[in-house]
Amino acid sequence: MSDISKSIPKLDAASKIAGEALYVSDISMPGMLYAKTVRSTIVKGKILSIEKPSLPEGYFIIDRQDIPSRNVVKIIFEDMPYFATDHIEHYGEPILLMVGPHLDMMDELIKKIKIEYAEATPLFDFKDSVVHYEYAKGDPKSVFERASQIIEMTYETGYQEQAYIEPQGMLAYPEVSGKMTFIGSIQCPYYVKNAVIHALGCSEDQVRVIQATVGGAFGGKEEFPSLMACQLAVAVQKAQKPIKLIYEREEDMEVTTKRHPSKISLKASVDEFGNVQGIIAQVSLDGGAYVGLSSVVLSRAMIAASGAYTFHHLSVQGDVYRTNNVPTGAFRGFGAPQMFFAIEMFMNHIAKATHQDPFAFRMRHLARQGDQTSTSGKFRDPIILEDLIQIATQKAKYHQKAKAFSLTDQYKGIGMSFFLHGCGFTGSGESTHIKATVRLHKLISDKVEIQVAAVDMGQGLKTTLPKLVAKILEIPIHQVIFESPDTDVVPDSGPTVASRTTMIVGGLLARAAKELKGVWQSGIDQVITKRYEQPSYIEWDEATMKGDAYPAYSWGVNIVEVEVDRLTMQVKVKNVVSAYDVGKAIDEQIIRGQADGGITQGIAYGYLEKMVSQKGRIRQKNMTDYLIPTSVDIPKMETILIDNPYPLGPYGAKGAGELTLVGGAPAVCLAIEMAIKRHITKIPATPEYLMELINHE
Amino acid sequence: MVNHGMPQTLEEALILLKNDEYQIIAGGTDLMVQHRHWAQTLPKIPKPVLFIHHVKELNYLLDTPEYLEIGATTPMDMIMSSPLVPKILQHTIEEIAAPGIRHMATLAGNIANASPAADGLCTLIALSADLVIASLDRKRMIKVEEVISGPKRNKLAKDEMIIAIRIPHQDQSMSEFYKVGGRRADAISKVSLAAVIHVHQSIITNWHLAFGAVGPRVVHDIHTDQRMIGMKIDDVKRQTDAIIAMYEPLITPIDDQRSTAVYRKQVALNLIRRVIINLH
Ligand SMILES: Cc1cc2nc3c(=O)[nH]c(=O)nc-3n(C[C@H](O)[C@H](O)[C@H](O)COP(=O)(O)OP(=O)(O)OC[C@H]3O[C@@H](n4cnc5c(N)ncnc54)[C@H](O)[C@@H]3O)c2cc1C
Repeated sequence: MSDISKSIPKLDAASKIAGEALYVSDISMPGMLYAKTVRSTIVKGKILSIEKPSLPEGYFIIDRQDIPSRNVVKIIFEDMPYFATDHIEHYGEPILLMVGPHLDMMDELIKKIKIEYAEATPLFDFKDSVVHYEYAKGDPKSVFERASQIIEMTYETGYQEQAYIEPQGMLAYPEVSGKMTFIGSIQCPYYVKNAVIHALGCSEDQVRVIQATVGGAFGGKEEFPSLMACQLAVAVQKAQKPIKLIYEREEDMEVTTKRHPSKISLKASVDEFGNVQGIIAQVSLDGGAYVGLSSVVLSRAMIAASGAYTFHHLSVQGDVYRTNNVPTGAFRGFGAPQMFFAIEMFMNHIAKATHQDPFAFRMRHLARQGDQTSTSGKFRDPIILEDLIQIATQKAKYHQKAKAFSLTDQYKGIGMSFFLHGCGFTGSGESTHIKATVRLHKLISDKVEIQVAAVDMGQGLKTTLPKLVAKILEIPIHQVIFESPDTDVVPDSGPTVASRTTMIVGGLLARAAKELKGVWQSGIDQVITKRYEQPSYIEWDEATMKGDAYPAYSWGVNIVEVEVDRLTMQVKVKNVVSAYDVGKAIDEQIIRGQADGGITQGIAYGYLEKMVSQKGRIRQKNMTDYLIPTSVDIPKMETILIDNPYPLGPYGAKGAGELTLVGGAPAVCLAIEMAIKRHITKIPATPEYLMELINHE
Repeated sequence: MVNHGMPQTLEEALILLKNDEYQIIAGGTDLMVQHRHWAQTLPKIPKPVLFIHHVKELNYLLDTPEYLEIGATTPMDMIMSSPLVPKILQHTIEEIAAPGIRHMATLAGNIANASPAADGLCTLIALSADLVIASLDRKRMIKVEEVISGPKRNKLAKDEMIIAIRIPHQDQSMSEFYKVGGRRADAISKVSLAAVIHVHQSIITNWHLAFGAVGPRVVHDIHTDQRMIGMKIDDVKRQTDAIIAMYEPLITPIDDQRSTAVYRKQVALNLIRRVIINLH
């Protein structure tokens, strides 16, 4: 039997290349109307009056007065209205939808809408904490009392925009039965469905959600599409026509959720041997005007406080602050990229401050199998981080180069990050909130249909899930059908987030396939259903944040080499070598795709992608001003995969989607540090910032 | 109903321009972006449009003993690959946008758009290029920099258009274009410097520096440049700081979403240093 990792052509590639794959904006329906959003032009204040023009036949204005039930988007923290209340909390808050058959006419009508406001003073500082978490491990207080040296640093990270190729989009239409159907560019069909049920106050069978082909998401289509669906639900109820809402690029960049800016203060107590005894961390996230799922981002960031190391004593506090910036939300890595930037820079800064070789210092602190995790759970499975480090350093000639670059003034540098990523939902999320269900339906034709709510957004599920099932059933892959999910057909296998799909959903499918194989009867309709069960040894206490935060961890090493132009401070990325343990690649080429894309996005987060909010308004609101790397900005990359099968993953697979992003920023920044011989404490490390560093010493 | 113009010849174009007010569109790579509207709607260009990209008689490169003439609709990729074109201009175009845009974009559009960050404009100014401007009644020639009246504003009359660019042949032993963009391709300049220089027997005989994105228009001060003529290379190198100080008052950048004034200024001055370091 051939190795499952051996790559096959992506099953959806041909239809995408041929232009046959349908994205929401490609879909048209008879009598379809368009919707455009009218948004607040102030950051904070009160709406005094709205003057609406009289509308020609067939045009509608939909606002909160039309809402039959609740004006709140069902996310974790239910505070975001889908049509602004009287109180505006951020720039670009949706006030109403203009709906009609002709875009140009809608534009004219929108220009006639007059909204009067009374502006109030917005808040942008970290003052209004709306979520506070904390946890501790060991006895941090006493190790700090005994410390021979205490080192303290503060790190800051900026926004990052998902910059998916396809902007947000959703189409909704009434069915004859009275049901309402949504077709969207989404990651989580059931989130959308539940949000609409909540908003309309209707029953479950009245809402159907179908995934269209998704042109990239990166977390940006996790919770945000629920807001658009709620608005459309109300609009379709009023107009009784199909309505399509597609965001313009600038609208999307200005108002949709992006990565949380953070401020992370770290304090280490170091003993007389130069070892870190304990860490005190304070993590502050800018949640924007509405909290949404920020609490979950915060907990992932906080749990990552010890990086890929073991510290016996920890005290970690975290807050999500409400501000009048645009709401922040899910983005590949989900809090981890912020924390890994901070902790990796900090480890290097501690080594410098205590006059130790950073590499040896970091190696001494690496997490090992059997160690307690940051949250006092246990690393049960083998950790092969040292193997990853060894092979990556060898391929990148890390040690020779680090030595040469540190001693000279060539403006060259090489940086290395160690990292892990917890696979699946944090804590007991999988068993208490998600409770994934998957189904395999064998048809009379002996074709097998995969029925899950997981979404292919470019990451390759359309290939990997059928590959898994076909392999276990020992049938040709084209005998397996995997359509984009439709909630009228598929059970809720959970959202396509948190690096969980291959490991958890794929794992359940693998079990279903094994069972089906045992009972296979040709020419007969057979259905196998599987539900998630938490491994019995996993224990998690949500209140104290103690226990096993994740069932499994993926690990990685990134090495990035740079050259900095000493006159312009421009950074050129010269070489990238990465090594990963994702358990087992279900398809090697697909993992390499994730690896190349992930580290590119991670490195760019560290040195290139700059987005700032100035008095509540995003300044870089198109792809001309918000720069993501092009092919000439990123060199050829080398990726090494080492198998380390996880017993509960299908064929040993763990999570891989987010892992590849989290180490990019610290690796590139450590390289830049070496090149310019200055401490970097802020990302993105733009030439403007580097120039300041150079000038102020 | 607006009437757009689709002239086949230069004369037709000039007649149309004489009779009505038009927005000339060449490659459209500035205009289409500036007037973009929602997806699936047409761009909102306020005036009727005069399409000239397909006017063949303006698509050429012509070498004469005194100058190289480039027709107004010659696309950038053709200019880039022509052996007739000075290296610095080829190199500048390589740094503009990406191949797709360069197939459409023209130098005339780059000039007429009058952006202080325009790369082609910056190099053409350093090359002391002239513009051939025509209306139905007359033809005139002015220096490229003289057509610019401010950010995004030019001095062309309503019935005029650029028909060609003339780059005088000149000695230039060392010409360089330095572009500092936010990334390595497809980026608008944060700062740029075009240097057209000739050194004869260790003496500067030609010296033009033009700076992009550090003021309301491309910065080029002929009087400052002139002070370099006749200097020995060694003296130039020795007096690097003084020379940089001489240019310093000309550099007046701003903060915007792409960079900061402080960075732009320091880099512009550092680029002069780079020119002098490379001088030979
Ligand atoms: C993705 C992208 C990247 C870009 N990158 C760069 C870059 O790196 N550097 C850079 O400098 N520019 C860049 N640009 C801007 C643009 O491509 C250039 O300015 C280009 O040279 C414009 O030429 P065009 O023929 O497309 O002009 P058009 O858009 O057709 O016209 C621009 C202006 O010039 C006028 N005009 C055009 N031809 C004539 C004529 N013959 N006579 C009188 N007026 C005329 C038009 O009326 C209009 O006002 C970029 C644009 C895009 C979309």
